[in-house]
Amino acid sequence: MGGVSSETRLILRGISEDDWRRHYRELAVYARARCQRWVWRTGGRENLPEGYSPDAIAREAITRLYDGTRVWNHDQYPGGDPVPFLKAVVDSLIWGLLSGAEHKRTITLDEGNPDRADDQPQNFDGLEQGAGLYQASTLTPDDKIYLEEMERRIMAAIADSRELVEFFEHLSEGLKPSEIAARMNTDVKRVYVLRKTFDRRTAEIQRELFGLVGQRQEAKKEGR
Amino acid sequence: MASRNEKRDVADRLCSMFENLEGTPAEDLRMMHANLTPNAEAEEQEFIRQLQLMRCGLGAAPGEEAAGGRATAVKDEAPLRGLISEARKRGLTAAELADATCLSVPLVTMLDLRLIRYASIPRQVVEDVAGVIRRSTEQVALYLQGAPIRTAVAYSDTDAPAESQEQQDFLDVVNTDTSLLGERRARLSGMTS
Repeated sequence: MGGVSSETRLILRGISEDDWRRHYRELAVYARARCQRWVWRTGGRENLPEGYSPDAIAREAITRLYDGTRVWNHDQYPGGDPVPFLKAVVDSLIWGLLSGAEHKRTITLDEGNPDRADDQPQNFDGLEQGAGLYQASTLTPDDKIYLEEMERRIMAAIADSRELVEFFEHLSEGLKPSEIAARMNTDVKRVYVLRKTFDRRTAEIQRELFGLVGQRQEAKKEGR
Repeated sequence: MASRNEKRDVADRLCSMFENLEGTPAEDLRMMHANLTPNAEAEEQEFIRQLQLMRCGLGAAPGEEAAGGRATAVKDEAPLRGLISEARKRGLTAAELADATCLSVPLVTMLDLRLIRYASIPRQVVEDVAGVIRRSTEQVALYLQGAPIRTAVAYSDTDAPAESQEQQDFLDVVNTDTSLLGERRARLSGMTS
């Protein structure tokens, strides 16, 4: 635990198990989206190495916070919520895993591996969240057509509700629930209700898009 | 922000569905996670298991000193590799373990393979198993919260249907276990988790 600052230690001790369950779910879902983004950006060339999963990456990020391998910069990530910092760690881990594959190097999440992702500089200052994953590469024509069709399916599933359509438009811009509430001039609780409705209506589409991270490309090749 | 929006394509728009969930209620996140991840509950339980170990390593928080001794004991205790293997070390077969804990062999086997959702397992069952194999209740609880153990049957390339590796509810297993004696079934059915 040598790398865990007293401020971090104090915060971690104050996080209950229920709080951690919530944080973990958010990170696991986030990791899944980030991994899938990478797959799309690389035309399906790079998937998670066998044996790894978005959930494992989320757990590894939290483990590294606890064991001091990743140091929480409280100036850059103020407050008692570890999730913003952990999202950056997740991005770093994904980058390490997938950029390692791209360069034919073996990268694992295990410590002791000289090529492990921790060797990536821990300088998050000025680094936009997930900047490494916003690559210049564009989607392949096939992926672009496929994703636009999926987006049309989502719109079709919510087209009967102007409120849901507006909600989805703001969601697509990358806004947080509180920001969406402000844009829609409503309460954030209403946004959560809209989200639940949206998820219920688009559950199958979401699963098809994000439910098989790492395996999606095989399904595509088989002619979905 | 404007320049970033200009770069957003359909992949960015779709991924945004899951990248900005600040403040979203825990239950809503649970449902999202469950929809996208086949073994969401098992994955979460694995996380909780790891979290407990990590928190032990971080040291007890103020007010948790009473539990600190127990946490230290769990930390110092050798990890449990399996319920049945541990019973064997005590000279017990799986059948004898089942008898001693008033369970059944299939039930003991499923607990050993972590095919039963931990949250559904009555505390008494955990304590009974711990008592028989002479390990701490906490260590047994930690073990049971791990991810399901995949067996060779799950990877069988025969035509026989693959054995389900999905975790099941404890009471569901009790109610469908034909080898469970009536008296034991009634006792287990009356327990709460």
